[in-house]
Amino acid sequence: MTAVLARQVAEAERPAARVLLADADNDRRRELAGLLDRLYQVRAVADGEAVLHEVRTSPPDLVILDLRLPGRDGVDLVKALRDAEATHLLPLILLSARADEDAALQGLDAGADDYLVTPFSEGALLTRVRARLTTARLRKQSARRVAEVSKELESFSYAISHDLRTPLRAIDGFSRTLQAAYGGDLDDQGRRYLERIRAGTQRMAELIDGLVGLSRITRATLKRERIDLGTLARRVLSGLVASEPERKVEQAVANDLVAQGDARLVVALLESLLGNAWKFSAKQPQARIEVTSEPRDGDLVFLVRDNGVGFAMDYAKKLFEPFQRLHSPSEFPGTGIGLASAHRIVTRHGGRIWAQAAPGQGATFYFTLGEPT
Amino acid sequence: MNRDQVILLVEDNDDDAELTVMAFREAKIANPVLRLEDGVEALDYLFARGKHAGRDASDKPAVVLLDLNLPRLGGLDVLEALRADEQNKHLPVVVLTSSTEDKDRLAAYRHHANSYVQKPVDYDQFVTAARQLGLYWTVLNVRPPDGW
Repeated sequence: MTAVLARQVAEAERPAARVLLADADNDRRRELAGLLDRLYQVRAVADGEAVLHEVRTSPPDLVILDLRLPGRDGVDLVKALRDAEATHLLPLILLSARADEDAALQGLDAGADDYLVTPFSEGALLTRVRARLTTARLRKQSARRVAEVSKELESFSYAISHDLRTPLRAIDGFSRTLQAAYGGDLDDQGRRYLERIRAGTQRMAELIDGLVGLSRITRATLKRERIDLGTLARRVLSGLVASEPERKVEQAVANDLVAQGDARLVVALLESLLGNAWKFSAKQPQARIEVTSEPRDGDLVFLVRDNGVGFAMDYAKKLFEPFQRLHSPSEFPGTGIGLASAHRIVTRHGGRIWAQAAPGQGATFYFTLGEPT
Repeated sequence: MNRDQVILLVEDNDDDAELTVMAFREAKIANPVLRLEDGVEALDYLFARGKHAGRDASDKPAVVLLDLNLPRLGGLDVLEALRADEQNKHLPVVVLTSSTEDKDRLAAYRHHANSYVQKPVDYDQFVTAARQLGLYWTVLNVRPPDGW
C-alpha cells in the first residue's frame, strides 16, 4: 500500500470528529448543521449555557460559536473555555456579523483560533473546520510523542543509574577482596592489574553519575526566579577553596549579576564553569578567576574567565558534547560531562553558551539565560 | 545493645548480598545477617507465615535493609505492608539501593522508611557505610518498648 493510500484509508477509518455548533439563529443553525453533518458528528445548541454544558458532558473536537448567543457574552464565553483545563486547547471558530467584527477580533485575542464574518461560503467554513481539526490532531500527536519520549528517557536513565551500578559494585568489591585476601599470592604486576581494574570501575561510576546528572537536567522542571549570579558564584568558589585550601587563586566576582533563572540549575552551571576554571588554572602561579557580565546585542552576557592553560579554538566545537575532552586524564582529570551539562542548562533557559580561548592564555566562557534580565 | 539480633537483608542480587555481608564482617559488625531474596519471603519471615510459619514473630530484626527492585513483591510494597501491620509498623527499615532518583527517595520516605542509603560503587565506601549502618542500628538506636 502506498503511503498516500494508507493515509487516505486511515483518514476514512477515523471516526468522524465531533463538532459543537452554537448559533441562536434557528434557520442558520439548521442550515450549518446540515452542511457539517455530512462530514462530522454535529451537536447544535442555541445559547451560551448550553455550550458550557455540552463541552462538559460530551466533549467536542471543535466548537463553532456565534458571538451573539443569548445569556452570555460571546467573548466571555471564549475566555471561559480557554480558562478551563479541559477546553484550554479546544479548536474554536467564531461566527460574527460584519458589524460585530470588533467582537470577533476580541474573541481572537481571548484565544479563539479563527473567525468567519457572515455571510460566508460553505467552502470557507468547511476548509476552516478541516484545517483546525488537522492542527489540533497534530498537536495532540506531538504532545503524545513528547510524553512517550520523556517517559522512555526516564526509564532509560533509571536503568543506567540503577542497573549499571550493580555489576560495577561487584567488580570493585570482589577485586578489592581479591587484593586483600590473595594479594600476597600476586606479584607486583598482578597487583597493579587489580589497581587498574578498580580505577576503571571508579571511572565508569563517575561517568554513570555524570550521565544521570545530565538526563536529570533535561527532565527537571525549570523554575525561573530572580537570582544573583554573583552570590551563587562566590558560594561555589568558596566550596572549591575549601576543597584545595593550599591553592592561592585570585577571585574577581562582580556585584549585581542579577538574572532570571532556575537557582538549582544555575548553581550546577556555575559549578561546571568555575570547576573548570579552577582545575585548568591549577598550574598557574598566579591563578585568577573572574565572573562578570557585559551587554551584547541587547542581551546581558555573563562571563567566567580564567588565566589557565586554555585550549586551541580548533576544538571549540567539540567542547559542549558529552564525553569530549581536550586534555588527557593524567594531565587534568574529568569525565567530559561538565560542559555538556552547562550547555544543556543554558539551552533549557533558552540561552546560549560559547567560549573564547587560546593555548596558554586562559579561557573565557560566555552565556546568556534567555529572557531579558 | 544486642549482638544476637539479626540484621535482615532483603536483596535479590547475589553479588550485592555477598558484598553486603562481607562489608559487615569487615566493619566488625558481629550481628548475624540473614539474607532473603525477595519481598514475599521478607514478609513471610516478618509475619511468621508460609515457610517461616512457626517462627516467633516477636523476635524482630535490629533493622531491615531493603532493596527497592525486588522480584515478586517490590521494596515499596514490603514497606507498605509492614507499616499497615500493628506488630511491624515501627520496625526500623533502611532502604538500601543503587538508585538516587528523586522519585525513589520520595516514595521510600512517603512509605515511612526510617532511612535511605545509596549503595556506593566503591567497596571501601561500602564498608564504611556498612560500619556506620551496623553501629547505628544495632548499638546506638534505641528501639520502641516491647509489646508495640
